Amino acid sequence: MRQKLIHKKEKATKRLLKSSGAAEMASNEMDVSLADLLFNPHLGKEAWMNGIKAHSKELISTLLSENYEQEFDAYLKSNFSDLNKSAETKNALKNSSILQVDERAFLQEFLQLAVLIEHSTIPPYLTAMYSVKEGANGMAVNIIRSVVIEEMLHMIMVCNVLNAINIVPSVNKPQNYPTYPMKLPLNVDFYVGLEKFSSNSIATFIAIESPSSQTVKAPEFPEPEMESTALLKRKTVQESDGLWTSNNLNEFLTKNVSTIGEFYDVLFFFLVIFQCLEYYRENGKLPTSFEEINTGGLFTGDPKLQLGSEHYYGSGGKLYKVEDLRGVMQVFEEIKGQGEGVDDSIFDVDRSQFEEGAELAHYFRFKEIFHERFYVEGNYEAFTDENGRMPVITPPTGIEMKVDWDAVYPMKANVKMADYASNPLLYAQGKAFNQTYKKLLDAIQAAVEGKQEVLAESVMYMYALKEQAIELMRQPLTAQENAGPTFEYPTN
Amino acid sequence: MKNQETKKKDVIIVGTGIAGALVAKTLSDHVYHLKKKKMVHRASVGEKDSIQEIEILMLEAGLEAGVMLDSARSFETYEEYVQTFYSEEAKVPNSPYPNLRQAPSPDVLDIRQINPPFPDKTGYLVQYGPMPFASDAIRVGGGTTMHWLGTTPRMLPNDFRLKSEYNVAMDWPIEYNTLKPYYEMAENEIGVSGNVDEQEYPGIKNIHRYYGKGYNFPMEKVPQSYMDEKISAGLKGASVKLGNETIPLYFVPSPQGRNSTPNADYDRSGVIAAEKNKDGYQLSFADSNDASFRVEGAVWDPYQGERCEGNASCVPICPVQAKYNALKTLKKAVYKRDSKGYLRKTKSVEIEAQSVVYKLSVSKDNPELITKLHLRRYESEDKTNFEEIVKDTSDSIVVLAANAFENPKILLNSPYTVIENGVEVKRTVANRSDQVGRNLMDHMVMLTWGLFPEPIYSYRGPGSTTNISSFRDGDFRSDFSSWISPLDNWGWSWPAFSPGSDIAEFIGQGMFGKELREALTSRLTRQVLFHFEIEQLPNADNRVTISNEYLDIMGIPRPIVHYDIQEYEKKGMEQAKLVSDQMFEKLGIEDFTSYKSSDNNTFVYNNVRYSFNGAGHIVGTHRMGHDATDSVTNSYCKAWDHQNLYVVGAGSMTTLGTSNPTLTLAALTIRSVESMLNDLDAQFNSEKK
Amino acid sequence: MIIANIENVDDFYYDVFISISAASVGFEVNDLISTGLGETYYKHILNSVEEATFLEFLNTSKDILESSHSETQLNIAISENLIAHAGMKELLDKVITLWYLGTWDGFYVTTNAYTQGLAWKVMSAHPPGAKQPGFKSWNVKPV
Repeated sequence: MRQKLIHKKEKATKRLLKSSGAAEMASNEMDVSLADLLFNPHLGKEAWMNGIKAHSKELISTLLSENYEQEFDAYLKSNFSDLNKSAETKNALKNSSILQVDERAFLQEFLQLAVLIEHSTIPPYLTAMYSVKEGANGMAVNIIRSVVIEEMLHMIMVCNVLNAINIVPSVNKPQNYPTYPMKLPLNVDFYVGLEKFSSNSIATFIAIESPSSQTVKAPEFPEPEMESTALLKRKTVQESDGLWTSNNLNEFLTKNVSTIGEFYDVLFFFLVIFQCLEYYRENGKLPTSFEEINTGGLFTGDPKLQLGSEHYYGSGGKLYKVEDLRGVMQVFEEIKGQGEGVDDSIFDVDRSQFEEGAELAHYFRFKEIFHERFYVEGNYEAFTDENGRMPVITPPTGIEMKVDWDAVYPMKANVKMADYASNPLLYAQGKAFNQTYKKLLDAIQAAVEGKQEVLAESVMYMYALKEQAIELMRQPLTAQENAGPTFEYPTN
Repeated sequence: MKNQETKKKDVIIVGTGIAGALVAKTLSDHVYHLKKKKMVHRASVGEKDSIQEIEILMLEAGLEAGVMLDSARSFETYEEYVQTFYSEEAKVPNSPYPNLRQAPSPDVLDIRQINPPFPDKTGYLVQYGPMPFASDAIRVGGGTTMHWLGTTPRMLPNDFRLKSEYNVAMDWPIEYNTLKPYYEMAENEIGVSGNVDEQEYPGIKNIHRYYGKGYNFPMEKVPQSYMDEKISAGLKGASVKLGNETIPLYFVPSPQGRNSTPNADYDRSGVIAAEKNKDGYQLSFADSNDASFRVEGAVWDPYQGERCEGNASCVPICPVQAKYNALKTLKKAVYKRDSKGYLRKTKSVEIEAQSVVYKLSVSKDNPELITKLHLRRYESEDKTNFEEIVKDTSDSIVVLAANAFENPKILLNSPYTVIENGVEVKRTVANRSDQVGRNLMDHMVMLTWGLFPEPIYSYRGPGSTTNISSFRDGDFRSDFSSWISPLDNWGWSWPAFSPGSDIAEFIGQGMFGKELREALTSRLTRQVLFHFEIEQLPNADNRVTISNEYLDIMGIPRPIVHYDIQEYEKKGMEQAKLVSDQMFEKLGIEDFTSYKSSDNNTFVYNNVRYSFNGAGHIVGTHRMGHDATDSVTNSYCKAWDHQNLYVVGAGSMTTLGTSNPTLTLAALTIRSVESMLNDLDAQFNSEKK
Repeated sequence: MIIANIENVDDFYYDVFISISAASVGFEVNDLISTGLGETYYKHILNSVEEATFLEFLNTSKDILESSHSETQLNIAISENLIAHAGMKELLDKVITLWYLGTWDGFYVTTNAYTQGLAWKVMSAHPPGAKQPGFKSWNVKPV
């Protein structure tokens, strides 16, 4: 049972396809109709971006309705029915450049980005957790632990989506490794790094899981040594002249998407669009109902590759299998709900929801640590409006959580194997950790490639990892700072 | 003295261990339906139905913190237990938990040899012996399930009829088959992992008939240890001589209350509901379309401990609560899911802690009615001053669920007088049979240990994952004890205090550096421990009494224990040792077993010395039986002598059998709730008229 | 033998203590530092035994380490200068016990001392109740 964090928004007014030939569209985002966005050859980049922003939001709000399928059908009909009728537009569609886009390659890049985003949170969370000295901060450690397990769940679920559309997921290659400190490939102004448990690192975690980056104080990080990894540079998509390029996608994400929740909204929007195009290719017309695009099209993956709940335990949430668009929706809802990341969402104040602390979204769990207080048993009257809702930024006012910010190993932030070069024993210790981490990723990789039984092994690596990390954190590096896990790809 | 004027309680339960928690949880899952005029399960109540809650009060002698069940507080308390466990030098079962002066507990560290006629008074128990009673228990929220091992075999059919089958002891008032449905409910509530197909017991030809056709445990079996597999492989198909008989060795994965992968074939719903029929209330699993087992993790976080994590410290404490403890049931008693599925604290189940119940009183006019319950409530862990409190129980059902020492202690401390045939007769509550406190039993644990020829890497996994079930039943039971043999995964830590003793031994020999390390590696990776739990028969002279001479700091009598073992059990131990020797030889195990005259529980039989430990299976002191002359309660744990008194727990067991008693006591307790519902039904209906 | 310089403690005798400990328990210096308890143990001994005794132990150990150029030499030196010397052996035994079990005179030096005992490592296991290896781990041979 999770609280509903997402509230339905007023739906934007529908627009029909504007007469073609209009030059650069106005920058007012709602001026771009869905049809224009997809098929108008004269659409400018800015309008394209605004269009995606507006339509992904609109699509998502459609899905939040109780009877989303009917709403979705209406949405498709209002956008596509006219196009299907007129011979002129039919012709225009046939020649549209969007049909040249390599959808799978495009989605592969997008989904692997999602894998990387999920992955990139895991080492920082683990590092903070491991840095806590034994016997201290038990509740905080529990909270981080529960979040980490859910992040792994998210990563595996994104792999399920990749498998559903018949793309082999990748989690254990060098390019799947986050490099710290890194910036999430979104419009955010903070860096994520491998840091010891501190109010600073917890503030970063709050920011990562944040519904809105402005409301959370950005912690201070050193300037990154390199532009956040290979994220923006890796290109699997053949560049074409159209707007639907990987460059434009990355630009869009870094300019317009400021939360992980929004990221998944846009990802889902792209998936829907491509499903519509697949439908068009097959049937010569655009779809007008959810059922028409729910299955088929891109969903050609082997269902046997899907990992289900029988392989998952240790935290809240479910491991959903994905065989169709509906399955993707479940996955993204799960990820967003646990996160949480839809802007202007409101926390539904109901004490009983807090009864089981584990049920809170990550954002709120981290806030509990930061404020050294639980939500449970708090009084939120002062923050609550007439509808019984309170802003997400409301701090917990419940019973105290004992947090000892000093009971922490003084690990050097974002430590690298290179830091251990002069100490062979320490170097070996650091490398052993990275090899265990690689084994963990290998086990996940094998599981998503069909050897599902191997996932059980990853459990043992997880526990081994913890002990190896803590032992590293006890090794002095300098007079002030200690070593720690580097989470680098192990090389020889 | 103070009479507390609070809301009338329908049921007052003394103790929050597994028995008390099961009564509270099962009862509080039911409500009185005003229109239907009967008790119904909450889940079947419509939104517009008028209902009345069953008001329940639970009394716990342990600290308040121990019964705080919300996530934050329960975690904090439990963390303290774990940290205490780390820092205690002697990591005995009671070591993690508060050792209270106001509610003392029997502790294995207090056990001494006894020199009769002088009792040993070291610990809470006043031990007259001649053999010290060797087991402990703990008075804390959740009771002794906090440190039970978690092994949950059912009793065998013949265990219920020792008199008719083997002409020893006494038959139970019920058969195995009577208890079978309640075993299923207990296995559901505890969350038992196991594999029915792999169970094999002497005298059971069809295991699926024994467990019930198509029955599965809620979770798949807990993986057996690497050591178990080495040992069973070494003895595959082997038999041993027992007297003139040749007995095949069955290595059985032990069913246990420890989380594992949920069994996809498990088809019972999680709802145990009472139906009223012509014979009264009957509990059964409610029909459900989506019957599946929901693994219960820790009390503070349902997702922690969803699987056993291999902490290998089940006794004394599972750090992640993957092992069942009664706090899980207690939480389900106190928190109910509302229509949205959120957990809400119910007002109808209250727990008052730091409340030591020590006496009951009966009505002068009607001695069958328990009218008062007396308790002393101490202020804090540090302070021993207390408040004297009397609860009126005239309109309540009283359920004693305080364990097999405390239950008889309270009963024996509750005197009353009746006029019988014009003569004044002194009685104590529930004791017309004079069986209260008698028939104290425990499994006598004989340990044998040695070195396996190759590393088997003990010290890993739950305490025990496999047992040898071959000697649980057989014709020999007319002559000597049956036993069960768990393989223990914890090396020699129990009998020899390894690894400390090994280190002391080797450095004593002048070893250091690599040589020392290698010697330790070789020794510690090869340690095997075999374990024989010998059945003890009921004996009226093995008993708990009280005396005004021996009081605790609150002025409450301490249990006085008289205890000894008989020829029957001694011979059983001799036979078990002969079996152990044969297994050692077949496996090439180098024997390191040694029994010393200085051991606390030791005896010489046929010129051979044997020593044993307690199993923590404290049983029999308020046994159920056929009538008011041979037992304290009927088979529903209701006192023969009183209309509103139940006595539940392992003390109810008529005989011990060879199974760890918790599962059986849980099944008996759940069954007793049917009778309580009948009583409540009558009470509610008469009030409503 | 090299007396390893431990970065965060500015005390040569501490370095000697760690190095002689490593040689006596048969582990690497890093294994001992990995327990996180080196300083705690060192301070505990300082407070528990006569300063002169501990100093003698450390000075002897320093000589042993500096004069040994192979493991064989080191072992012989420990045997001759510590083991053979009753007072020194008593202290050495306590030091070895401390690293293996975390106890000094039968008591844990700190709460963590129990979980950091080397005994659990040599048996390829873990201290009961801590450093748990995860579901099913006990079913396979340790790696």
